[in-house]
Amino acid sequence: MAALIQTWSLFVKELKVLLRDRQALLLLFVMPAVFIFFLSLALKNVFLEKTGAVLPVVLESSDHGELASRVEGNLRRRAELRFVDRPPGQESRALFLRGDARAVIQIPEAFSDDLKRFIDEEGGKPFGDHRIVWEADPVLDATYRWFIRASIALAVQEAILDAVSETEPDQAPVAAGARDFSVEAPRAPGSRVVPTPLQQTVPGWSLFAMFFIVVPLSNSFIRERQDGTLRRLMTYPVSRGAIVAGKLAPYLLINIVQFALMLMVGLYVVPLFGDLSLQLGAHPWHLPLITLAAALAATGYGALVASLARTIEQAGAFGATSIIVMAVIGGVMVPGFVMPRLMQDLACLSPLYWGLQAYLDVFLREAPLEVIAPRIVALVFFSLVCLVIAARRFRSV
Amino acid sequence: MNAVEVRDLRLVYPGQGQPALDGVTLSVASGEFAGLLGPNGAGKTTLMSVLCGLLRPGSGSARLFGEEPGSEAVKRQTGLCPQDLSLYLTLTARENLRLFGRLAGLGAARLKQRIDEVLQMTGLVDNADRRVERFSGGMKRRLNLGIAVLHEPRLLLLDEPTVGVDPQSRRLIFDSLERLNHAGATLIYTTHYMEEAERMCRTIFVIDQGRVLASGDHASLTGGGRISLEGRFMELTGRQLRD
Repeated sequence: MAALIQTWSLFVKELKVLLRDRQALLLLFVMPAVFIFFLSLALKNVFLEKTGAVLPVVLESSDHGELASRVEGNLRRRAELRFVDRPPGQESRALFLRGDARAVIQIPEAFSDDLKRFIDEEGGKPFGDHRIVWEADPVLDATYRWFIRASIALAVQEAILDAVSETEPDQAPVAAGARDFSVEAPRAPGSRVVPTPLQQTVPGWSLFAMFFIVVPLSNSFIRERQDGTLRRLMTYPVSRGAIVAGKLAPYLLINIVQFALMLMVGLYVVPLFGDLSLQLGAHPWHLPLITLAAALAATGYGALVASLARTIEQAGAFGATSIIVMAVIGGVMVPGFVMPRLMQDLACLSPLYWGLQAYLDVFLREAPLEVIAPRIVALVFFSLVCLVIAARRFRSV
Repeated sequence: MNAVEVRDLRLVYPGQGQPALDGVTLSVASGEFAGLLGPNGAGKTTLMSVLCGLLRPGSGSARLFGEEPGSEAVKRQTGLCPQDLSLYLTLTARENLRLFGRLAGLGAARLKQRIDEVLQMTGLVDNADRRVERFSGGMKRRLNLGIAVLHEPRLLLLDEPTVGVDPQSRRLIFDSLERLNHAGATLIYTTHYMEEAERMCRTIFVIDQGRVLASGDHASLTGGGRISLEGRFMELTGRQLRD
């Protein structure tokens, strides 16, 4: 009972010291929230272009003929395109710059006449001068440019097929069959590999901030060593176990609170400002387990850095730099799915990668516990190795 | 039984050829107010650390109330006022006292009573709920002492407790220590201020280079007043500057 009271007193002390450190609070809570908020919104298009975006497009037709209307109707039925109106007097360049539209498609006057002539001649003469003109945002991915071109071609071909079916009823079955040569295979459950922006930024930057606990944790360890409070604690009838537990437990708790708050930011705050949402997957109850393992790893790493550094400045510089490196390697700053194969292979050297992949397993792949268990074990093992080395170092100091 | 018995204590810090303690032998009776007088690097703080159980000697023995330093029973009866201000600066004075009182094993009611008494004793009642980082040097020194005496130890180890304090705080600390000694506590006080040792300590040990060079009361050390304590100290330890 006495040991419990002592551990609790040390826990309360450490928590108060930490919560009164404004810089630490900014680092642990504000930094990841800002990263999640801004990077999710800023990188929305990058992620969406990987997962299948709906492109905003301006469609303008100067031709009110039947065939032009059919082409326009065919284009407007495409689920991948979202049609927006051009504000009066707005040039295309301005539309692209503001992000209001990614492409402009224009059907010229007399397009119907040229197309009808082309059908009647059965392709015997080349298409006239009134072709559909389209212009894309200069930064639009080449794949999407190809997609716009193909969409226009498809819309025109469908209009031709419809026209042929009407004028030559015996060709109707062929025309109908020509629309439907392929079908997309249904996606196997758990096969998604590319996260949405929030599925990447929430766990990624949460882990980054959780590992940044190394800065206040090592500061606290080193300050106690330097100012003599640790020596003073040792003159009391308190076990080393109680001192270590009272020291580390608050940081574990802070890590868990960090993840919970960042999850709230992803679930409730960011969606208020952008067309984004955070899907947690089929097994969200695995998240506490992963978070606890990640918190153990972060706290263990903090203790290791504290044991290796002699000064607060050393710990701060080494701790922060090493976490940034681990985050870069581990796919926090640059998502794994855009990395080349070599970098993806190197990513597994970083504990942040193990944590991030475990979260993505839950969010994207609907992974059962046995799939995420190796990653959790790796995090816990990393924590134990760090703590054992730290304990040996502290004993020898 | 003596409060402290030290026999032929030797200790060499790793990587250093010169021993920090080189055969220290001394005893301090219960209820005594003893002074350890020595220049910088004499071994005073090392001896204190051994008595607190923070350092293990290479050879020799130390006993506090007949038991090994560092045992739980001894820790409960010992209070250390370290030379460094070993305080949590972002906690308040009351929070610092509460923490160390809990670690010493004081129950809730007793702890509250003792915190009030110590705040009174150290003149910190009006500042009890201010963060220590906003305290003056003298206030921090008084709190440093207050923590050491909070659990009413039988043996109080004071390592230069008045360094850098103003005369008012120094006087308050002296008065507090005298009251504690009158109440029965054994005090061991390290200093290199002669006037402090003369005023406070009934027995003085002059220590240098890890050895006890002389010991006794003020009269025996000064030859009945034929030489000042400072003169005797310089005779024993020499005039060479210490780092």
